[in-house]
Amino acid sequence: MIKTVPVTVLYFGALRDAVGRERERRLCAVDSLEALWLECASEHGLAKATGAVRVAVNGEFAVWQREPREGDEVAFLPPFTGG
Amino acid sequence: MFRLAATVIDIQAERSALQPQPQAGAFCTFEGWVRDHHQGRSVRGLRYEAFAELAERAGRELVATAIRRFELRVAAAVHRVGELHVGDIAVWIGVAADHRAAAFEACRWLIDRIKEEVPIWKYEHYADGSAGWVSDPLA
Repeated sequence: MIKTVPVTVLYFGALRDAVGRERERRLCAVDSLEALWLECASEHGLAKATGAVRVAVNGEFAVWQREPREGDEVAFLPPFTGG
Repeated sequence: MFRLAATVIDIQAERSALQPQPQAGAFCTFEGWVRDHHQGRSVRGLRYEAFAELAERAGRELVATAIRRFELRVAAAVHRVGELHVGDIAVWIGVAADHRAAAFEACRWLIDRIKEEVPIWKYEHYADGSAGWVSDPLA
């Protein structure tokens, strides 16, 4: 049986506009944030942004290889344009 | 020493909050203003959005790093969120050091790092009525 964990995904900026909402609850069955992104990107038509996006988990920057855990809040961040 | 601000930045108040620093002989400040042009397009205004929790954490860490690295007496930065018009102050940075070299360098370093490391996004409103995210990865 594939292990699934419930996570919350946050979208910001252009990603949020494309997805149509700023957060979604998902059952994650993959073992890396990279794979989770690819799944979300495929579902919401965000593939063009792959490579330009950064990821944060529970309010801190994270690496793409990190494994999603139950209750994680995963944020996909487009290129920063503040300052 | 780093915060997001939803309302107009009061630069006199921000400056006063860093004083007194009797050991500092140099104070540098940077203001980022909303300008009326971007890549050849005429801009009417913009909106900044942030991932607040991470932006404040990342901004605080940058200011703390600047204080250590440049041996500052004090430093602070404020970044607007929300709707801004041309001429508004989008970001304010103030640093105090014993001598001017460190103050100049720290101020420059902080704005450069804030632009790279703080999750804030700019949505521009153009004079022709169109609008869009700067550096939109989906465009």
